[in-house]
Amino acid sequence: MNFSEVFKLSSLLCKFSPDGKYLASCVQYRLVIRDVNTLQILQLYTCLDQIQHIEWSADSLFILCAMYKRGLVQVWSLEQPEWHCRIDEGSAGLVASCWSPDGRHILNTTEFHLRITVWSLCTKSVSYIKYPKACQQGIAFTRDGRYMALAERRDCKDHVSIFVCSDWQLLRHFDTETQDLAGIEWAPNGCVLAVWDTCLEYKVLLYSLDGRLLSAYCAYEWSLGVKSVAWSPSSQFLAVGSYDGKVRILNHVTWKMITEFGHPATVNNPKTVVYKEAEKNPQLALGRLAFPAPRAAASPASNTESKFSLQTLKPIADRANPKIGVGALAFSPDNYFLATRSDSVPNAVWIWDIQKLRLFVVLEQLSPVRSFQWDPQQPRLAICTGGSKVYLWSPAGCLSVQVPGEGDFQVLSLCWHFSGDSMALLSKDHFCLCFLETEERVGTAFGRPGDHT
Amino acid sequence: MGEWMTVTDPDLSSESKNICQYTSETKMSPSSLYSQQVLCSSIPLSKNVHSFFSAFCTEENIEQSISYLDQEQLETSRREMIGLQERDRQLQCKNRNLHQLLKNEKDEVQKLQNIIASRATQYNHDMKRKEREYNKLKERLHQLVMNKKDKKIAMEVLNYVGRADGKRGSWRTGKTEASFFLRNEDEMYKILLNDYEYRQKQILMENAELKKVLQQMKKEMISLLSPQKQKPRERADDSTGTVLSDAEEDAGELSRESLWDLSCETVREQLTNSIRKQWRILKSHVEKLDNQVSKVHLEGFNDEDVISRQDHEQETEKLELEIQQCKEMIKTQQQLLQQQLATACDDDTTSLLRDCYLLEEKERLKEEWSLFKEQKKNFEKERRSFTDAAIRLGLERKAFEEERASWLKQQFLNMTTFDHQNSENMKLFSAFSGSSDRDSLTVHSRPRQKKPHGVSNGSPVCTSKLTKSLPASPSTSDFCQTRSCASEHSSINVLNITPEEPKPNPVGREGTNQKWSMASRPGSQEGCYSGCSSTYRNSHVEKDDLP
Repeated sequence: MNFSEVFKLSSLLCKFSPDGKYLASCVQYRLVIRDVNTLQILQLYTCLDQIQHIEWSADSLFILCAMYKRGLVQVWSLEQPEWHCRIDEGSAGLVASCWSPDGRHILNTTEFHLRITVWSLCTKSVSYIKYPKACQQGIAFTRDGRYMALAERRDCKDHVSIFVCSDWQLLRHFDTETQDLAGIEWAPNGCVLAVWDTCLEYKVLLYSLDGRLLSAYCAYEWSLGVKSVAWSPSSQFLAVGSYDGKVRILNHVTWKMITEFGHPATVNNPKTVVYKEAEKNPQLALGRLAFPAPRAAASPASNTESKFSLQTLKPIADRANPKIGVGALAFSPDNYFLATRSDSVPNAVWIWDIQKLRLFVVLEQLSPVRSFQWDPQQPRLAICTGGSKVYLWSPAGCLSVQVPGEGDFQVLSLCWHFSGDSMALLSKDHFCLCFLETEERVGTAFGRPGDHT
Repeated sequence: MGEWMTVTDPDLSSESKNICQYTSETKMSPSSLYSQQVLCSSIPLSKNVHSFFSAFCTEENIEQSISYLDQEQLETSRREMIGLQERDRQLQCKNRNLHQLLKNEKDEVQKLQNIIASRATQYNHDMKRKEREYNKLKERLHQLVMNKKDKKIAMEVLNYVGRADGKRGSWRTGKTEASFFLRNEDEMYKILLNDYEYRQKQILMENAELKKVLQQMKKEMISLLSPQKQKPRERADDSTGTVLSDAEEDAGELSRESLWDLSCETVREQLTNSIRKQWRILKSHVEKLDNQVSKVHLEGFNDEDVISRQDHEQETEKLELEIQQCKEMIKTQQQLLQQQLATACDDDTTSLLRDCYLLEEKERLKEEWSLFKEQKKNFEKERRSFTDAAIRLGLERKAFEEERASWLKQQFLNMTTFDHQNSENMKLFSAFSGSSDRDSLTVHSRPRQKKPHGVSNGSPVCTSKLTKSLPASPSTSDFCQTRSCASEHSSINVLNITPEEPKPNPVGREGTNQKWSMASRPGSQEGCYSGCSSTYRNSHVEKDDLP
């Protein structure tokens, strides 16, 4: 495992390009494009205001920088550095901005969700979409980029519109039986759209591409409902995490629940392996550890007791958005594992075996888990807790690596390179790259650990 | 009150009056059955008891008696306490259960209330957020309305870029919205259909695999079950039939299926039904084997009484039930007994009565005892008398025998001197008692036919006796010989024959007896006699050469 130098960063804006060649990072109002392998600065763009959001276009040719305060979006081209584009929403304001899948249209959501403006980079045409729904996940593109589903709210009722991305024609428009739609997500195969309701009502609706309601699922009434939703990469399963601390897996044939995973505070099954992070001598944790040979001294102590109790967090009563329930769900890319986190047991990550539909591994860290991401190519999970360590788990084992540096590098977020060879670790003001050695690849030589520029 | 006498313990004694009061006031314990306590309780009622009471406790033994009484009462009170404690415990248990139920209900209510409360909080939070946004909107709108000269929103771009796929933007020439719409629709449906087809393919493959597995399972099950079918088993008759028929069916099915290779409804049903049947057969077979195994296990220990596991368990259950019932009965009986005693203890008169009843019973028993004794004595007496009588009888007989013997001697003497015309004097002795020692009386009836009376009287007896006695002893036979000889020929040679030649067992002598057996001539005197004489003659030929 190699670590790169530490570079400046702001607002956790650091993204790999989809083709994996470039790494874009923001420092205040500047956009820095680096080469992934050498981390040399290839381009440097200056925006008009502090950047709140950057996004690569699908073909990695363009990158947009959104400045919500100013209501501006600036688009930069990598091929032609001198090319520029600026979109000003003016008094309409800007709340969100994103690319269309073809990489030639930008969708701006104006303030108060009054409308979505579709700006085209190819033509002079502008489209408006009215009454978009203000919810956490109101826009969803299919994986192949053909269709876009948009949640709308008209006359106090929720609707979904499906647009054809190529010409922005409305394909289907239907209303949903939700009280207050909270999110929509396409299945990876692009034929089924999952729609779920606000947490006050447990309801998951599944619509076909042509707008037919395939199934409605409701696990229970009255208690707080759906918190997180994830499709499996094969579209076979839909994992629904709810406030009752359980994940329910629906299957794509009958759209009925095939199993539910609980997250109790004690692990009883002796077959489950629990990795518990233990405080060790800091000298042991250094870089240059080969993976997946977990001979690392800093590996967490594995504990295979028959009963293992995890640290729980009691949620504050009488508060909205309580810290209970399954807040994070992610399937591994090979569809074998599902990683979950229960907010009432914030230090642990549960990994479930989807083949056997049972708990596989529990990882308990010393501090609350901030985020975890699967390697896009293999079942390898990277976890960060806000400390200076990054944790990796794979079926072969698990290890923790301390990010080298003079000061404390608090890993607040991380993201994988699409090849799975490297990982960007983001802290509040810096970021660094972590290169994972594979057996084929010899460690790339670049910045030694501990160096700063 | 005889028992008082047996009971008095000279050691126990105390001041009469004090103890009297003390004991009469206190509750009576179950052990008041004992005579001593009864003694104490019945003090105020009878003078006799009073006098005996003084014997029970005297001044010296106050403490002893007190302690003795105390122990009894302690025990009783202890037992009561235990009973009450048990009841108390049960009630407490009940109480706890009810409390638990109440607690559960309360928890449930609390939980529901919490849920409602959290929902309300979330709702309020959302509502507040909406309200805030609404207010912002209103404000902004207000601003916009105020500021009409706001610059137009615009996009400024250096130059327009080409499309991602490299194509040019198409001109909208003549094509209507509808065509676009249709094209999109087509695309959409194509995608959907592709997806469905793909999934259907997957499912078909899965089905085919599962069907294969099922068929294999079925074949294996059949093969498992078929070896047993060769043995003659009555119970398996039905299943054999079905198995075999299934096997035939399956062969047909297989061929059919391979031809069609479709998931037809009927084919699927047939397959699942046959699998289910096979499975049921297999299951019952395994259960049978299980039972057999358990039987064999039992047999290993006990050759007789092979009980199957189930029967054994049933039996044990029954026995346990019985034991429980018996225990309960015993408990209730104990309780009742205690109750009775407890209630009885409270009342002195009832105890007195009971004592009286007991006395009555005792007296009755005594009477019966005396009766028994009397009867015993009588029996003894009778026995003694019987034995005396027997002895006397024996003596008399002896005397009688002696008399007879002497008389016979006389007769002989007379006969030798006189003619047999004096045969009147010949008596027929019929006092046979069957004893082989005595000489059986000889019978001379032939010459005495003239005297039918005496003869007739005696003759049946005589004949019978003759049949008996004649073979009995040689002396008699000799006598007979001599007599008959004398009767016929009036000459007797035999004089030396001793009258008494004890022969122990007449039956044992077979030689001459046979000749004397009189079975041939039934009934008539003459016949008898003639038979006698004839036989006599025969036997006598050897001895004498009498004509």
